[in-house]
Amino acid sequence: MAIDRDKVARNALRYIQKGQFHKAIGEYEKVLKLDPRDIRVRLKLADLYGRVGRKREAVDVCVAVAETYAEQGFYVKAIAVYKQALRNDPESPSLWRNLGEMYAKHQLVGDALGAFKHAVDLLRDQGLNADAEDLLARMESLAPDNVAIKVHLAELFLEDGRYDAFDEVLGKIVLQLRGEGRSRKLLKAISTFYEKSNHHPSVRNRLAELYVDLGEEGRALEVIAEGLAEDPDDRDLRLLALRSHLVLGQLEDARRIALGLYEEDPEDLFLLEQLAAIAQARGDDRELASAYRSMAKAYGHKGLSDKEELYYRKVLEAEPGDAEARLALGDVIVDTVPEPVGGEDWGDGVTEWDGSAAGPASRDEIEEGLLEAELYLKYGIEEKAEAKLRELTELAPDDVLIRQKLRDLYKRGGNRQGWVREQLHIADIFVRSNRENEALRAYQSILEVDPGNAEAIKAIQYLKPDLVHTPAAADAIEIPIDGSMVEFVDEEGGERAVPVPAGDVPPDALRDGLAEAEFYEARGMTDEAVQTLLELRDRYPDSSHVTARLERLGWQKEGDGGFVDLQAEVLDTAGLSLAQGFEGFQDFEVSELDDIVSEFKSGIAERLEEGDFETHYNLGVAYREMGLLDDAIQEFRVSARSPEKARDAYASMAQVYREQSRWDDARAALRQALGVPGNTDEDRAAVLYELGDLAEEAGDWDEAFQNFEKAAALDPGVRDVGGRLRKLQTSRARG
Amino acid sequence: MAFVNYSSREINVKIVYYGPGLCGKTTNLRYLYDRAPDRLKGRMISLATETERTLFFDFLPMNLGKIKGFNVRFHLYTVPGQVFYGASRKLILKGVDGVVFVADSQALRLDANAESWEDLRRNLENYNLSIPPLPAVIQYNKRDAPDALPVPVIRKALGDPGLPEFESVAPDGIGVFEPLKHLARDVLNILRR
Repeated sequence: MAIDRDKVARNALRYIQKGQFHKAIGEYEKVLKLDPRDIRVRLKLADLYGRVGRKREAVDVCVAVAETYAEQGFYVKAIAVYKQALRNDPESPSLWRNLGEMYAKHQLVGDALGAFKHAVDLLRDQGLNADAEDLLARMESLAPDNVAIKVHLAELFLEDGRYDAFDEVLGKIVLQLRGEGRSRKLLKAISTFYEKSNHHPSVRNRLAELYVDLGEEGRALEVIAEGLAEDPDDRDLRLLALRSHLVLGQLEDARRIALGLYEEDPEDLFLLEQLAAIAQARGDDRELASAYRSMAKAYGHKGLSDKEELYYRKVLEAEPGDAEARLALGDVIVDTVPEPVGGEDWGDGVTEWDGSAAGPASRDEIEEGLLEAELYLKYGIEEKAEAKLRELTELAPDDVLIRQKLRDLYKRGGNRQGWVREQLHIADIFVRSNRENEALRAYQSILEVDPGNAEAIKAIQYLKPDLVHTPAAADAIEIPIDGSMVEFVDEEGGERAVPVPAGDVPPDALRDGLAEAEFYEARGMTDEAVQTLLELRDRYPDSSHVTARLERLGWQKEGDGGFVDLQAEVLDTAGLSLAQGFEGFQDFEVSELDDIVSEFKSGIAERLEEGDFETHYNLGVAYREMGLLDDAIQEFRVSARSPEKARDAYASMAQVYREQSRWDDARAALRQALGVPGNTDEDRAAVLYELGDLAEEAGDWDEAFQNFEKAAALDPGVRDVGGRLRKLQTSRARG
Repeated sequence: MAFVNYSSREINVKIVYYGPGLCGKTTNLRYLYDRAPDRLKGRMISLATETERTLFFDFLPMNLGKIKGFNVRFHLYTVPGQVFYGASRKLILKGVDGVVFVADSQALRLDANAESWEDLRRNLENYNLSIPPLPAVIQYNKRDAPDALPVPVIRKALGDPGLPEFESVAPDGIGVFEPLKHLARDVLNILRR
């Protein structure tokens, strides 16, 4: 019997209006029997099923309709229907997942990730880790640069004991964060994984490597010791231990480990190089000659006769009477070998870099030029310094020292392009001098500054093709030591000088750092001077020079917060830290926030001229309003250099310090605000009132009274100064 | 709560433009920045991702003259609208004095509006705030979109919050100044009290 569709629809509507949903369902089901593809009727039924509590059927109908829409390419409609389904079953991971897929189809990646996020959360709650892993992998494909997704994925693999998969993801995290120069964040992540994995060996090795790379050799050795207690033969850990002992100047420990490793592989040129370096540092010519002799033989076995000859020459420099070397080189060559002179360079024909590989120009000429450039730098005439150094590069294009000075000059001036250009030159010189490790490191540092630098990428691929997969492992094999006394290692924010053990000789890095701080101080750039000194203090905590200079600049230990790690600040602000684990998506978002804040700050730093004091001030206010207090102080400090903004900036700094309960800093900032030239009486009264208020809060009634009194004298109408004075008088009278 | 700095004699008022992704928050700020006289505005700080989405926040400081000897500075912020950046939005709302909720009038974004409104409500709760008493206005943006929904439909999706409403086409400046002026008045009235 034919059905009048319109009549049935009217009936259904009437039932709905009366709240008789079951009867309405009956009517629509009649229509659906006639035309099962009628989407409008199906959706009405889904709605009614939901109203009468037939949730499962409601969801089933919605899913079928959504799938139909999706097949036809109507993703927006499919999104709406999945949302309708979710109202009936909000705890369904598959619905959230499907919704996410529809968003993804519609190019709404952020919304897609949000929906997937719900699904992952539900799957984990339900113990369906494998499904959660699949979904996180899908999220990763949508947002390949999102490190937080990888962190979650790694965590899930770890929970499931899938160590191979975990290690693979961890490798990606390492590659990404190192590539972005975010080693500190990486350290937090790996430290967390180390705890969560119950000190799994693969995580331990990565952690140790990272500590070494970050210059925290002492901590690295603690981790290494733990690993070697479990597996004394772990070669990677022993190599890391060797590197750490060398940096820490623990030559005997380094020698013991190097000899142990060498016995396992007597032709390992890297180890021989280390043994030679250790012998040289210990002043043991016999052992130095022995190391070089072994190297010469190893090169001989490889058929590299020029290198063989080179190292036999070195043997003779260490031990001129060495019969084997004489025999190998022949009488004619032996006659040309100069007698060794302590502290001199390696002599003719030796390609070792001694920091002054000058070309045709005389060394004196170069030294004179360098001195001139230094002088220009000291007096802040950077253009002239640059011109001089450029002139010198033309005289001696392969002189690493000149290139380094020029590079550092660009770094100070924030000239990224110039820095990269010079670093590429330096790397190239290293390559041509067969100093592949230094070259590799130089290229890596370029990628930290300029991640897409094609030349560096190409060079790294050439030098170390496997680096793309295992960057940390590549780093673990390098411990170059040369006569320069200073080894440069990569670190966040640039390069860091690490003193190389050599008896009592003062480290150049310390001297250079002090000179740099002096340079800043002479130009009135106190903040930069303090920052430089604080960096030095981290490396040379016992240096009285550094401490004295810091004190001279008015720095106090508790004032350290001006240079805090942004990440720690943000995480602390949010009340979470990576060390607490990655449980739940709140942390996921916090991790994202950390990334965003970092990216924002670096983006702003690139665009904002230092002389735009007004904007620095406004940015300080913005950070303060968000509770990013240390960032706010940094911005206010910059703006305080402007005579026009100084009073407001110092006053704002004082407020932030008060929020941080840093009373002394607040007082100092207010005093600076008070001393700003051009203050009117009203301005001074306002600041004096604040000083009084601060003193009263600190319990110093006398000082408070004096300040209020001075404020009242300048401007009797300043706030409630009269009342405050009366109140203080009463309090003082009562004792 | 507005920051009052007695030493610098400044009152800093924080206004946040909130709303779903791509609803036109940054467009609002850009228009205000382009049209405001130089003496009234500071430099606009705005960073966008490669896909032109707001990174962290946009920031536009504006000077509104003096009240009782204090410089009144309005700081206009936008939040990143994408669902994923909840933590950023929460941080930016800290210390907020007023909210312009920018709703996207396009039919497709109806749910996004409702979700964003709910997100705003939750984030404010985090700071023990709610609308009202926190001053807020609703700006229905993209009124020129071919599939723009009627205002009552969007209002209903937001739960009919009973706030002052403005219709806008932000790129053309239609309805851009009005919601800000209204909100500024409400905020200043509270400050005066």
